[in-house]
Parts: sequence; C-alpha cells; structure tokens
Amino acid sequence: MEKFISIYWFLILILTAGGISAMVFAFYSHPYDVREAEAFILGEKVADCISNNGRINEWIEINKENKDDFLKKCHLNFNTEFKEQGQYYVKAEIFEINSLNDLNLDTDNLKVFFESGNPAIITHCKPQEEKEIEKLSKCSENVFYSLDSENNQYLIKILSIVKKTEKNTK
Amino acid sequence: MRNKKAQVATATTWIVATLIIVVILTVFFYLANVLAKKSLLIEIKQEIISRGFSEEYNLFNVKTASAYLQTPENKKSVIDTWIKVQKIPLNKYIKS
Repeated sequence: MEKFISIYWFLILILTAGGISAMVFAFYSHPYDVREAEAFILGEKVADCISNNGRINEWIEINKENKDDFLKKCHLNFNTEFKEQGQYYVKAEIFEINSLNDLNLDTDNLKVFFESGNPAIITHCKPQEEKEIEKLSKCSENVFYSLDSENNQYLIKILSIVKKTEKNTK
Repeated sequence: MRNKKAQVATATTWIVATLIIVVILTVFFYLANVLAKKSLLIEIKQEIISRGFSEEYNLFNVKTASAYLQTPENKKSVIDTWIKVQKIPLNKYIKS
C-alpha cells in the first residue's frame, strides 16, 4: 500500500508541475501585437525622409516624375525573415494647397506620389477601420504640413501598412 | 473486513483528491490562457508602446508645427483652417 501511495505522490507531483509549467507557457507564449506601433514608426521614417525642419527635402522634385527608388532614398529595407515576402507597404502623397478647396486632398493637387511594398495588403485597412480584426494587417495613415524652399504649401499624406500576422498574433 | 473498508475509504479519498487537483489545474490553465489574451500586463505594455504615437509626442504634429512657424503671415489662413479641422494642439508644440 505504501509503495502505491509513493507512486501516487510522484504522479501528483508530475501532474502539478506539468500543469504549472503549461500555465506559465500559455501565459508567456502569447505574442505582443506591435504592428500598430511598427506601422506608425514606418510612417515617421518616411515623413523624416520627405520633410525636415518644416521643409520638403531637396531630393524630391515637385511636378517631376521621381524615378529614383523610394526605398533606397529613405534607407528602408522591406525584406523580412518570413518566407512570404510583401509584409510592408508604404505610400506617400504630396498635395499642394493654395485654397480651402485644396484641403480635400484631391488628385488634382497631387504633385508627388511614391509607393513601395505589397499593394495587395491595402485592402486590409478598410475592414480594420470598422472593427479591429487581429488577422489582418495594421494600417497607419497620417497627414502633416510642410513648405518647400519657395514657401509653397503642401500637405503630405503617408499610409504605412504592416502585415506580419504570423509573428504578432496567435 | 474492517481493514478492507478502511482501505476503500482511503482509496476514495485519494481519488477525490486527485480529481480536485485535476479540476483546479484545468481551471487555472484556462484562466492563464484568458489572462494571456487580455491581461493587465499586456495592456500596460501595449500602452507603453502606444505612447510613442499619442498626440503629445506625435512627430507628424511636431513637423506641422515646425512648418507652420515658418509660414509667411499672408499664407496662414488656409493652413489655419486645416489645423482647426484636424484639431492639432499647435500651442503645445510651439510653447515647448
């Protein structure tokens, strides 16, 4: 009988230790979703690349087709450790504003347009606005004001999207 | 006969005790999962992460304020309207 009880105690010990380990693992293995912050930081990097100290940077040629690689100019690298690439997307639009009507940011006033990354993930932004869906990409859209060297006024809209659902959600 | 009864009683106690342990562990495991998904700890960490893009430290607003300060007076009316619509607390950035 005593032999049986000692085996029983041993089993209970394993069961309890295993249970506690499983709880700790379940708690700490849940990933932090940092995509929203990542998308925002990406937008900030692009904003820094386009405008500094209130002035549009010299490398941007207004009213001309900017053929240079946007990613290279902004020192961005969209390669990831994931097999499936295309985890990022960035779009920057520079609108000239001269009157109140221009504040609608219509394509008529669009002076410069840059885009890079996977445009397929843009479709994730609309559903995210209505309801937060974990498995979709996180989007960050920001608009800021800047001048050029001749004091012309511009609104710069930056849309940055981060997918990376595999690493940030369970 | 008495010994056998005593043995059965002891075994029943152990079985019930085992079941209680298993039930408690299962409940705690479930709670750990629930807490992991929506725990205070995670919310606090998310809050720290989110603080970076709160209005107070928003880089886009800082850039807007910086450009606004350099805008000639005769061109300020349009951008004033936009700032008002966007509710950008410009005074906060210009004062600091």
